[in-house]
Amino acid sequence: MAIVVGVGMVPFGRHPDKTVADLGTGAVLAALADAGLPWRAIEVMHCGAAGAGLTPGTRIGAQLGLTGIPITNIDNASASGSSAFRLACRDVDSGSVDIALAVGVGKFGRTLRLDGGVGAPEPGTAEYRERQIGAMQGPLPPAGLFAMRTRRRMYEFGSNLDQFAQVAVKNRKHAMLNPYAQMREPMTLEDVRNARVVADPLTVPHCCPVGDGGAAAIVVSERKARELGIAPAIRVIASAFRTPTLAGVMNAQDADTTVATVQAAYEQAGLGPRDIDLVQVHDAFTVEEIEYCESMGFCERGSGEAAVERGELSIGGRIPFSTDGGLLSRGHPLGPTGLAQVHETVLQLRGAAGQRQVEGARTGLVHMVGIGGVCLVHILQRE
Amino acid sequence: MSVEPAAKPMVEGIFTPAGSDGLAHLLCSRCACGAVAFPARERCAACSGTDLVVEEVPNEGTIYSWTTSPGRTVRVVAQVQFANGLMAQGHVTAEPAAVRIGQRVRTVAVPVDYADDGTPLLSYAFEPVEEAA
Repeated sequence: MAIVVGVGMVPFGRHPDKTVADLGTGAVLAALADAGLPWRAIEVMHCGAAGAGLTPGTRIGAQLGLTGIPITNIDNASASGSSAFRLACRDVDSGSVDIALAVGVGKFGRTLRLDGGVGAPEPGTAEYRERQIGAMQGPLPPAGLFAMRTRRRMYEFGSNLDQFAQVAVKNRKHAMLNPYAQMREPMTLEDVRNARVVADPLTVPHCCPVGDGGAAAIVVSERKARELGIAPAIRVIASAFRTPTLAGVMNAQDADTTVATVQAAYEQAGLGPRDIDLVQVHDAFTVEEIEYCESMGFCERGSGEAAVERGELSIGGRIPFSTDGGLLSRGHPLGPTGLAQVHETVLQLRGAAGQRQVEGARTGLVHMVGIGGVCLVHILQRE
Repeated sequence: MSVEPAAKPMVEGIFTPAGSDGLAHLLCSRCACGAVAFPARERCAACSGTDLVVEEVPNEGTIYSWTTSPGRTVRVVAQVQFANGLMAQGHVTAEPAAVRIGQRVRTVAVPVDYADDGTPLLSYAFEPVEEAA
């Protein structure tokens, strides 16, 4: 199994002075320093980025030194970094290399149209027709779909908006302890209530911020870990990846895909929810942490709101979620986010997470969802 | 002298302003395997089959959930469930205060734009058939 020997990040936030490649290079250098390995030891690299231009990984490689290694660029929306991590682990597991690197980068304002074009599509084109159909269906920002999911849950389970706001407040408290987090100002329930409405009923703090950043992780084979004297090893004991089926209705597709992906990961690891000590989740919107907490088997459907209110998902609680602040407050520059989750999990499993340390953390689960229905789950365990 | 051109859907094949019963209907595909989809598909998502026909979605449905779209004019956007199993998203012709989950709505044609030759272009929307309260 792949063993994580190095993680690194460029803090999430605004970096107008750095290009996408600069952000990636910074993260890779931090991961190399953490692993005690030189760039020239890396045998293969996978780069996750969403709408960051052509071949960002190749540009990062060129900055670090032209070693001739294979570099693959992956765009899987928010799950791009997680996809890069999965491929790096598989390269090591296949035996084809001993040392693989995954990097993720993202920079606000670089996102193209979903169909790949720039600006407004030309009349008469297939893209123009698609956009007109979208206009008829009521175009919404991503927050719109999650606003509808929130409202539906409030209807089905009698929950109230403050319970969802508690996710944002909790994750902000976690982020205030994380120097890599983007949003570290104190935030109260009142602040969430009184913020501007993005998509009724969601206000700004119910939605993750945009930003810039980079994150990287280095994985090695068992053989190489022994050679390097890595102990205790942090192993990637599960890597699961699913896209949607028709099983779920439109409103619950991500939650249903999460159920399938997490189940596959538990089976690979031979574990269940009771064996997990902490979770990094795709909390791009507050409702998601509550939904996926249920999808992962940590509480019954309809009880996620109460679990958050009781502090069960806080550091010190029954199953801490988003210990680094989550997408909501650590930030979400798309490409690097899944690798920031790996970064946080590795620090926690090493017992090196400082004030936000989860006591006795041995097994961590990381979960990402990408727009269009991509879901990845990894489970990391310290020996 | 000018004759106003007849209104037509902004994009053909998405809905019909006046279907078999004279009412507006969304158009969905139905596969030989039974799966329905909106907008209509050429290849079935359930079985990958290509034996699909286009049919009218029931005129009336029920609001599953709703939100508002951004912009200077607040507009309600809803997911609407139909008796044939479909869920479709579209604008609602009512203020947020007059919309609720579970409300019955009907499909209507609404003018939204003009073509270069002056032809009014229509979209579909959902209109409450009962009060929200």
